[in-house]
Amino acid sequence: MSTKEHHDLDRGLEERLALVSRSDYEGAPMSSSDYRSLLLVTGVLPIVLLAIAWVLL
Amino acid sequence: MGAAVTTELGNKTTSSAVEGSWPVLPSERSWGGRALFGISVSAAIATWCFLIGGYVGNYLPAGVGTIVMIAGALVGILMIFLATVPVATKYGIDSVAASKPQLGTRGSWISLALLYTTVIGWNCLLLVFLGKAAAEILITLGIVGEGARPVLISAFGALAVVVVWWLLRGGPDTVRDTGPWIAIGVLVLGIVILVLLVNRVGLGAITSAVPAYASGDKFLDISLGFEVMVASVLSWWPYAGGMVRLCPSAKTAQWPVVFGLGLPVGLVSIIGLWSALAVPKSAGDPTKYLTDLGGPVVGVIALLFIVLANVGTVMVGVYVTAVGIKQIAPLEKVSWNATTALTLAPVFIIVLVFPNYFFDHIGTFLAFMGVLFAPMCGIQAVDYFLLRRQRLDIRAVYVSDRTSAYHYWGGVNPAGILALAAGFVTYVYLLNPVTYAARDPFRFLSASIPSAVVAGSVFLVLTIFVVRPAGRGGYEQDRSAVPERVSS
Repeated sequence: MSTKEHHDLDRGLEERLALVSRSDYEGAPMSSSDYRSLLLVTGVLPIVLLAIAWVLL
Repeated sequence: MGAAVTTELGNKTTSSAVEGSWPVLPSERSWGGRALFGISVSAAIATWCFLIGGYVGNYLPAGVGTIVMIAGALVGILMIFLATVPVATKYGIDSVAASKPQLGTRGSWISLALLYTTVIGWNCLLLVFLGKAAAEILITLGIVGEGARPVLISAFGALAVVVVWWLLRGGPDTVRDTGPWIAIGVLVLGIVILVLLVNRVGLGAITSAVPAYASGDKFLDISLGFEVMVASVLSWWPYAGGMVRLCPSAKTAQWPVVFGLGLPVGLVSIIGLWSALAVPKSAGDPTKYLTDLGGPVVGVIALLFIVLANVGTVMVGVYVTAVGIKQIAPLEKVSWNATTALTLAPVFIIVLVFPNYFFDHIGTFLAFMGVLFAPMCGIQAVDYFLLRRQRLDIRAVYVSDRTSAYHYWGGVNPAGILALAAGFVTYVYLLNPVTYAARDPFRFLSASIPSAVVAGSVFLVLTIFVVRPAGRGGYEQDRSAVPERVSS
């Protein structure tokens, strides 16, 4: 890669970082209800499954 | 002319972001929920699922093992999710870049080392698996005798390393389309194996089979099976960030990650569990029973498929690692072919020199996934949600000199390193990854979860009492920034 191409890419990264630092260029976050449903499926459900396994074993 | 140059520069930077490690802008994130789900399933479902399930079959019977593996897969993916998905989807960065705020700009090389170690480990397993399948084909066809098996395993494994390197010469294009075909093929193979097992061994015999190493202590056996599954899913840490950063939002990524990257490992591993119980000497390894169960024709076709599928999966792993290690400054200018060779070199040596030793200690490898990634998940979740209130200085992630807020002391955050060490010690205390000897409270808590909690707690305390007062890590600016509010 030539020096000019390196320079262009550095400039590209700088421009990109300036954009990403702005809140309107951020990906949308999850809502609290999204987190609740996530915890229900991946936190509470496994506990129930483990309890069932314990009873069955 | 000016517009043309700008467009060319724009294309280059977009390609550097999407195919490299730069942050991906929301407008460049082309993966919707369905695409992420498909790609996640493709990445998760591979022949390694048979080996994971086979290991759980050492401790748990079919019914209970099935339930426990699903629980373990869900908990593992929760830990991965909290550590990587919110930050990766917010800023469009991968898992290694997302670890710089916790470990420092140079400390994050540890993350790269984890990525390298993980993929090398999985690739070794898959290539020895491939060598076993290829050797079995030749033995079944009567071309060579039983005595040639050890030499053939090493020879075919080493040959496959060369083939993978040769196929990857063309860069990432070779890799892109292989994943879905491998996943579909492995699913078909799994169904064939299940049908063969039920037909030849019988459902009743499988469900009533007693696991070979069950202790009889319900808590301990369930915890061991659960831990194997959690640790296996934790090894998705490097992959998760790299994939979800191409999604426009965390909400879009939420269920595809859970049901595409986490749950399928648990479900497909059930086949390994059942086969380990049906054919105890196999430990879930289909090369040991496919020809016996299916006869020479079905057996050889299935073994041939294992060979091809494993070549494809190893290619994907090598590609991910090669992209990752090119983030290290001295390797930026190394050619693509040399980078893939560097990635494959340790695999070549292991496969050639001691393939069986590595394959026979798969449990140790799986436990090390928990040892390495559980503390990392705990630290990242605590830092992002509690200390930084879901806001990073994204410029500091990509600037590695002293001006970066994440330079800490010489590019390393001692709080992150000490917290990792604390998590490591906790895990090893609770479960010895080599002998699988467990200490209380492993029976009730497993090892990955306490390891993550201890690492996160140590990181929290050290940051509040040492790092933040020293004015390092950019915590002051994060505190003065407007806190992230989740919409309800």
